[in-house]
Order: sequence, then C-alpha cells, then structure tokens
Amino acid sequence: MSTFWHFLIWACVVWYGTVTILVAVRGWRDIVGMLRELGRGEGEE
Amino acid sequence: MSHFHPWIDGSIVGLYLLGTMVAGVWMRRYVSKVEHFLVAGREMNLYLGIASLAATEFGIITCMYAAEAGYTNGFAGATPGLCQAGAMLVIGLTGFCVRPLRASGAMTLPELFEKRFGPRVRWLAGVVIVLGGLLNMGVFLKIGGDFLCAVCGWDTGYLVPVMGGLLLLVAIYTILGGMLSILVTDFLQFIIMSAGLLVVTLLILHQIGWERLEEAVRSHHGEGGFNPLANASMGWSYLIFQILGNTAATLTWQTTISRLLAAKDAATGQRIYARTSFFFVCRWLVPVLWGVAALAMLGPATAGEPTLMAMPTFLSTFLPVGLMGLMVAAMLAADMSTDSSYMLGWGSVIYNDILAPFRRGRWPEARAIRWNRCIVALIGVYLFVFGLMYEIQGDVWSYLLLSGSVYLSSMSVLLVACCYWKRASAWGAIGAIVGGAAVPIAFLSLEKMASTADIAARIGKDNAGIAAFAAAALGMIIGSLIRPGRAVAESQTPLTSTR
Repeated sequence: MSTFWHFLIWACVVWYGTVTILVAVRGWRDIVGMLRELGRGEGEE
Repeated sequence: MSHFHPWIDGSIVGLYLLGTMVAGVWMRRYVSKVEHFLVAGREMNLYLGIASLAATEFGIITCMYAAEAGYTNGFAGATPGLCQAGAMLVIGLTGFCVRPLRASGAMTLPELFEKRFGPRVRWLAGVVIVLGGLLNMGVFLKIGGDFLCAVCGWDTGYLVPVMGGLLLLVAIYTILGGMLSILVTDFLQFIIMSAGLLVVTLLILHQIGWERLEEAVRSHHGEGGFNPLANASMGWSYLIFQILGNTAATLTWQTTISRLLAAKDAATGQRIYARTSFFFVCRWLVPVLWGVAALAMLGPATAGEPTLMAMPTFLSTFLPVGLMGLMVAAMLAADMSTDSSYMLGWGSVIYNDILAPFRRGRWPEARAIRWNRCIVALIGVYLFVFGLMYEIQGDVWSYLLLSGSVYLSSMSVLLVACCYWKRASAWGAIGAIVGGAAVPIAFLSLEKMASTADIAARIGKDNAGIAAFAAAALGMIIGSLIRPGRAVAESQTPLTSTR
C-alpha cells in the first residue's frame, strides 16, 4: 500500500502542475470570451 | 516562533488581496440580470469551470481537516478524496442525474423538484438545503482564523478582526458582482492556490523525504496508516459512508452543481466534472501529506492537544520567509473562493426557492438583484456571528459530512427519484426529506447533551450518516408506494426554466 500512496502523490504533483498551467492559459481565454458574450447581449438589448 | 515576515510576506499577501478586490469589483458592470448574478448568464466555459470548481472546493477548512486526517490516520486519511474523485469521474462520464438537471434549465435543485413534486416540495427542499448548508459552513471562519493565527504566529485575539476583515472583502465583491465576480476571482485564486500548494508539497518531499514520511506513518499507525480497512478508527462503515456522502455531494452540493448550472450546456458541465475529478484526489492527498509531515517532524499529539493545529504549527517554522507569504496568500485565496461561492450558493436557494411563494409575478431585474445582494450580506453576518462561536465535537471532517448529510441524503434520493423513478411522488419526496434530516439532527442533539453523549459515541458518526441515507431512501419508497406520482407522462416532457 505504501508504494500506491507514493505513486499517487507524484501523480498529483504532475497532474496538478500541468492542469494549473493549462487552466491559467485557457481559463483566461474563457473569461475574455464570457465577458465578450455578456457585453454583446447587453448591446443587443 | 513563526517565520512569517510582516514586510516581505505581508507584501505578497497584500498584493494578492489588492488584485482580487480589483478584479472582483470590476465585474459589477456586467451584472444587469438575476441570471448574470446567480449563474453568470450561463456563459461559463470548460477551463474557467475547472478553475472555479477546484478553487471553491478547496478552502482553509479543507486543508485543515484533511491534514488532521493525515496526522491522525496517516495516508489512509486521504480515502474520502479517492471516493469523491471516483464519483465525480463516473458522474461526469455518464451524465447520471447531472445531464437532466442541466438540461432542465433550473438554477437550483429545488426548482427542478418543483416540476416533478410541486411547489411545497420545492420550498421544503430549499429550507433543508439552506439549513444543512449554513450549519456546515458555519465552522469555516473560526478554523480559517485558527490556521492563519498559528502560521503567522499571531495572538488568537487577532482572530475576530482578521477573519471579519477577510469576510468583509469577500462580501464586497460577491455582493457587487455575484457569480461573475466569483468566477473571475476564482480563476486568480486557483492559480495562486495551486502555486502555493505545489511549492510547499515539493519542499516537504525534498526536505523531509518519502522514507521518513513513510516511517512516521508506519511507526505511529501501522498498516492502518495506509489501508482504511485495517485502521481501527475507519473500517467498512467509514468507507461506505464516504462513498455515499461523496457521491451525494457530487450530485447535489449547491456550490458544486452551481458550476454545472452555470456551464454553457450539459456536455460542457459533464466535461468539467470528468476533468476536475482527479483534483479531488489532490484536494485530499496534498494536505494529508502536510499532516503526515507534521507527524514526522513534531511527533504524535499528547493527551488534550488539538490534532487540528498540528499542520499549521509545523508549517509556521518549516517554511522560509517569502515562501511563507506565498503559502498564506494561497490559503487566503482558497478560503476566499470557498466563502464567496458558499455565500452565493445558499443565497441563491433562499432567493430562488424559499422566497418563491412570497414573490407575486416576476420581479423587475433591479429589484431581484437588490434582494439577492441583501441575502448574501445577511449570510455574511450569520457566518461572522455563528462562525466564531460554534465549537465542534470530534474531528472536523466527520462533523462536516454529518451536518451536510442533513440534506445530502434526502436531496440525492430526491434527485435520483426525480430523474429516473416514474412512481416517485410528492409524498415520497416529503418522506425522504423528513427521514434524511431527522437522523443527523437527532444524532447531533444526542452528541451535544451530556446525558446522551455516550450513546452518540457508541453509535458513531459513520453509522448515523449511513442511517440518514437509508431513512431518506425508505421515506421516498414508502411515501411513493402509499401515494404514487401521477406525472409519468408529464415527467418525460422537456423541463424548462420557471424562474
């Protein structure tokens, strides 16, 4: 069981690091897109 | 003596707070409808959803109870994280319950229930959700304050002004921008939080080393520190309650499903669930590792020593100046994102469902937004008053899961029956709500009274939690069989928003 937890901890570090970078880049694009859509909706009304 | 440096670490924390406030308050200009305030106009996309869900579901409270589990149970303490990750992945891949929920266009769970079980059940479900949620959330502030005082080396007299100030900042941007402010600040908070968590974890693995951590767990907990079924304080009832509780939380916890409901469509919501699932392993295992590190460096707690404070006490002297600031900023980020989402999450149920019978006709948008802002402010006041007074008995995670099961048990049964059982009726729904709430409330009452505390200890929180789910399911089955639902055909018609 010890090996399982050791492996899982390193899987967490690698996965979390990768996702953080991915979300930092693409999450920003999502925010810009979301605000653009909301701004467009306001304009149409 | 804490390594927190007032100028160096304080500046890092100050910069973070300033950035968050500017971003949060800036979003106010985009709020012109209730739908913007409560579900961000349903414009949230995948990566923002992942950031927001992850930031919301990790607060100082999470870090504290998971680290306590690591300190007292070793790596087996991370078992709830594996249960929740499994539930999230399966639900995300299959769309079990969440697909019909998102497709219904409802903004809250009770709104969906009204379509199947009627307005009374909607109102009752709203009351149960808010009661269970606020009881659960009430302990966040004090535990967050205890953590900050311990790592920064402050006197506990600072707890009230520090946490009051923090809550005020969160309340300001949540009241002004609602879900839009929450999403944008969650994004910033996710990045700060993740950076802090990763750096501290890597430092622990590098400085202390796996062998020493493993040895500490083996010598203090034996095989039970690695395997929950070999742990005297866990076992099968613990594991079953964790599977039930975490699956129910994934399906019905308002702050979790509000991300699903704010997603662009059901498919995006499912992808957010599936791709965030492994985060729930990290959410538990990272702080559990910190708790194990505290065990390795400080040794086990002596009688009467609070196990909850072991991890912050360890971190206060382990981290160097500079990193201490990053870690405190990360924890503040974690806490603020959780508080803001919880305030809005329960507030949305109060407005949308509990106040629904008192609203005649559709309110003008400006009035509706004003009411929502007032409700969020009142929840902030409650959080401040109750949060600093309530004392928890036993370990924090068990309390949270048990108080949460006041509604997790009944709402998950209602949701499954609403989506998939044609005979389910309003009677069954009321039976499930009463049954699911009665057991945890009775248990918490037994625990609080000196004369019955022994009985509560013999029953145990895990068995009480399992009993709550069983009572809710029985209530639904018996109530529906006595008076079956009429809406077999009706329930198959597409569900549309009835705000």
